[in-house]
Amino acid sequence: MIDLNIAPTKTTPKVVYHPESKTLEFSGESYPENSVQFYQGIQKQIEALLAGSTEPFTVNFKLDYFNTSTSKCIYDMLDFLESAHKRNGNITVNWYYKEQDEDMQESGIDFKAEIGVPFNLIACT
Amino acid sequence: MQKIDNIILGRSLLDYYNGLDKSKVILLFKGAMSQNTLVRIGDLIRLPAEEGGEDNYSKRLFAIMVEMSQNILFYSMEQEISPVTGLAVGVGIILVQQMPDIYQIVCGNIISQEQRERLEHQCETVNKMSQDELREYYSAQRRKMVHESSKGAGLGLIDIAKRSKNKLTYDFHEMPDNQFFFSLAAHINRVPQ
Repeated sequence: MIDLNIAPTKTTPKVVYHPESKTLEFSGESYPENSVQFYQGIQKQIEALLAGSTEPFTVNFKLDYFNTSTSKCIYDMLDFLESAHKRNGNITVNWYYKEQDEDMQESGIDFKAEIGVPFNLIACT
Repeated sequence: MQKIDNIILGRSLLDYYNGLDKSKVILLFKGAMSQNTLVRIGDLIRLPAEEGGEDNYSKRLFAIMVEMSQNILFYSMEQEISPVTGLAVGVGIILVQQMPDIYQIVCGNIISQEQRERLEHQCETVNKMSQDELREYYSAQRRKMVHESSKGAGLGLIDIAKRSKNKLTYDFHEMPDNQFFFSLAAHINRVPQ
């Protein structure tokens, strides 16, 4: 059973999956002691979801802050999504950031430059 | 009345207070840097932003503090065993200084000879880079590094240099048993208020 709804903690983000729109959303902050454990679990569930369907799948990132370890986990996840996209052309990534947050905007730009999936940078007020 | 025997660093508490005051220290923590502890220190650092004060620097200071603290947690040669979890936690020091034109955030912990060589090389490497080069280097390292499950991704120093937008300053002080006390300072420019 896929369970991709995870309540936020002080150091891990809220994760919500909307099956109707096949949209997965990360929001909040991410700086846990062991980020690999957190993100690998989620990635395995995404793998299972994508294995069963070629329908459009969207991932929204609405993070306020993440540490370098999380950054590597996000990279690995995007790398995996890119492979899926190469097979089925069905992935979209939306990177949300607060208008005044240059660091978060920069992070989005740098991920977008490296990952070959439709990747939208969206500024919020 | 019992007089308090204030032998702190061999001086009186007032001397210590004045020392911290003169160095513009606004936050200091020395001890076992557990994940819970660094979360609380992070809250303290972000308090001015929460209370409606300076917002531009709180987040950068916080981000740098997290990387510095998690480095202490994972890599310090000085460890304490948590009485609650039974797991080892790195010991070190973090302090923040607020000067009129600059913030300085400093961390320190004991390291091995092997760690010293790696750290010195990494500090020298990032200090040679422009802001654009740091961004590229960060992306390149992130792409190729293999993530050790229980520790960091090896990107902390690059991130600290990148976010602070200034050269890192650092020192290795020789200690017994072929160990060193590593201290690292990042600087963030302030717009004078």
